[in-house]
Amino acid sequence: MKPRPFAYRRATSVEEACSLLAGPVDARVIAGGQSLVPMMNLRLVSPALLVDIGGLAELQRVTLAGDALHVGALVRHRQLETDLLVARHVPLLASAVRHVAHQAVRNRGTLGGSLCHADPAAEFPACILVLEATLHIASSGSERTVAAGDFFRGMFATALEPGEMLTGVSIPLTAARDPAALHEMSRRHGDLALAGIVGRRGQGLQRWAAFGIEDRAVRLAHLETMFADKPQAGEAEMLAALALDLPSTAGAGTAGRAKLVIAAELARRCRDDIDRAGVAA
Amino acid sequence: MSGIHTIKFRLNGRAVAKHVEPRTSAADMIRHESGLTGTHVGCEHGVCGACSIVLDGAVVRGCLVFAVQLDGAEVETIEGASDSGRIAALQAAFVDRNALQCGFCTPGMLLTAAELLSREPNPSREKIREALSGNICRCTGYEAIVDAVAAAAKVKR
Repeated sequence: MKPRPFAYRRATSVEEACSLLAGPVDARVIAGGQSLVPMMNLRLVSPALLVDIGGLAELQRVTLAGDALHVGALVRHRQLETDLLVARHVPLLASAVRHVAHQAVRNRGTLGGSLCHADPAAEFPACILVLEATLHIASSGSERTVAAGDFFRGMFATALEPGEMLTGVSIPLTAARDPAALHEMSRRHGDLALAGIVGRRGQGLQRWAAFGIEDRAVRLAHLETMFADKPQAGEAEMLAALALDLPSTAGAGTAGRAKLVIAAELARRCRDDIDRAGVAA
Repeated sequence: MSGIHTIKFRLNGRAVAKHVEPRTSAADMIRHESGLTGTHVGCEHGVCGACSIVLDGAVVRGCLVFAVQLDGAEVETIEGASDSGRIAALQAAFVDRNALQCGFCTPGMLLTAAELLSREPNPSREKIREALSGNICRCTGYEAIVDAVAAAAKVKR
């Protein structure tokens, strides 16, 4: 299908993009377009104006900034897969990319686009939750930051206000270098996850998140506490913790119960990967 | 603000200018305005891979890029890749192994396989399957396509 007609503007600066977004018409940012354009073609969304930020070179960089790695909103998945700074400092992101869609989509899709689209089954929102990243948000004449834990508000919903756009993400290096792992289950390689788990183990801390299960990527506080007490916990203990972290799934009958069993197995795989990485380091 | 945009880009090595509506996809423009019908339009939401084109050196979905976004870009279609000879070994391997039946998916398969071999000259069968997992074929069952890509990799080595 074809999208409804819309107007198109190519922004030449973040400031220009923000002022276009703040205008009276229903405007959306287009970056890689790999989530937005399918939704437009299916007419699930029909913005009146697309503000193309694809030409903003300043958002396409990965840079070390003090004790954080800054990843620009326009960094493409392919770049995350191959960037040396990402490989060295945030291997979790580089390994997560392999689960995201297919190569042709990864060649074009962007980190910022994935985060702003906030698909409940996407990998990157869960990754930045466990990495405790900070999101940088610009609007006309001002900037603000939002912690990853406050950014995702529901299915396809984020803390972005009208007239705002994401410019990048800062990932603290101490978190980024901890042993971490991601596992997911999907029907076919590259398909959206039926369930996914990300975990990170730092000095005396556990950070875990689930995706593809609830209406957004969610932190798993009970699982974190449980793993802190019992690093070698078995399936029953993981299931008990996950049922507390994911109450709506736990209450959703057989299908929900199946998701929890899958999530527990994925958590075990992550835990075992982290154990192995911890030994190697 | 709305209306027709004029874009200039390079298509298979030649400079072209087009007048496009924002809602026109790159694949539709290439087919209808440039007459290059090897770019096939299947699902129109990024699932099937039949509309694959090469945009600034990387294979992308032609249905998930708007033509208006091509301003200033370098675009190669299956016609350009075929005429230049850069996918000749793959094409020969597809013919040898009968790796196509109706041919609808083949342009996308060839461009995707060529990108795989340029990034990874000696891929395992599993890698080949993973690389082609975004390209849907309803005829072959994929086995012959994987064989052909593996054979082309051998020829190239």
